[in-house]
Amino acid sequence: MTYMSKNETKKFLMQGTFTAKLTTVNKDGSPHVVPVWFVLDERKNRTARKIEDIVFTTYEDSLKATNMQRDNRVSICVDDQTPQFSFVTIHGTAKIVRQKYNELLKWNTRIAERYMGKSNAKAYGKRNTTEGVILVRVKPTKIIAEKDIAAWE
Amino acid sequence: MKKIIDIAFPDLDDKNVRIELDDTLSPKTFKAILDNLPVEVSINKWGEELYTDRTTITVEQEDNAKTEVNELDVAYWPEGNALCLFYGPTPISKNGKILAYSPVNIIGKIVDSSNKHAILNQIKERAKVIIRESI
Repeated sequence: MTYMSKNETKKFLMQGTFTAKLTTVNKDGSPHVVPVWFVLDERKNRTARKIEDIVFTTYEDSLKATNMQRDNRVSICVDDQTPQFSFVTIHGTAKIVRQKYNELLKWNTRIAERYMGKSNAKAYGKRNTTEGVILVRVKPTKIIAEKDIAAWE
Repeated sequence: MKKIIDIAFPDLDDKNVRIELDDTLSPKTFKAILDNLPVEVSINKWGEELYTDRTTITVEQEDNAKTEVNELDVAYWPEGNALCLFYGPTPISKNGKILAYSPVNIIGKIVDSSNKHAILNQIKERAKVIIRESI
């Protein structure tokens, strides 16, 4: 196993259709884990010195949104489930942003392009931009990124 | 130039927080805010920061934009097209510093510090606010 560099980490996070397993904190303190589609806000930090915000959308009345509104602490795990196995775990702080339709559509189209392909991006972007959908940004506070877990030393 | 505006909280017996806008730090934002008043919007909480939903005020990050702010600073968050009121630590604050999520254009200050306990601490998530010129 070796640690990923910053650039490797960013590349890994945006690789293919890896989903993020997002953990939020329930009211009783127990964890709640769900997969989410996401992208990195790559416009934000072109110097590549930091891992940019993780951006995804969800319904404002979903359990994860309710949890994040009450407690902004989240963890996110993205993993490659094929040998030699690699993963990135991000601990971060979430901030909910309620966008106007056009801005939300832009994000949902970008996210859909990643997971459903360019030809389906517009249709899925529109499908996922409905009443009650909110944007969530996660600012990473700690990142653990390891690659080639199964490799012999 | 300085200008007084009010943020009214209709859900809180129409209580007002008075803000002194100052054009020295973020002149474009100062103008854009005044051009767009009144603004009716819902408000959100992030630690001891109140921030509005996206408004019709659209300004880019200005040259003096910063992440570290002071207690009672009022700012515009370009990323969220939102107005923010900082009255204590945010979830990413460290070592007593009040940190915004990302750089904000500082536009002024809450005039009366007693508002922190009397009003700002009482605001509930999704409360409606009206931002308007002071009467």
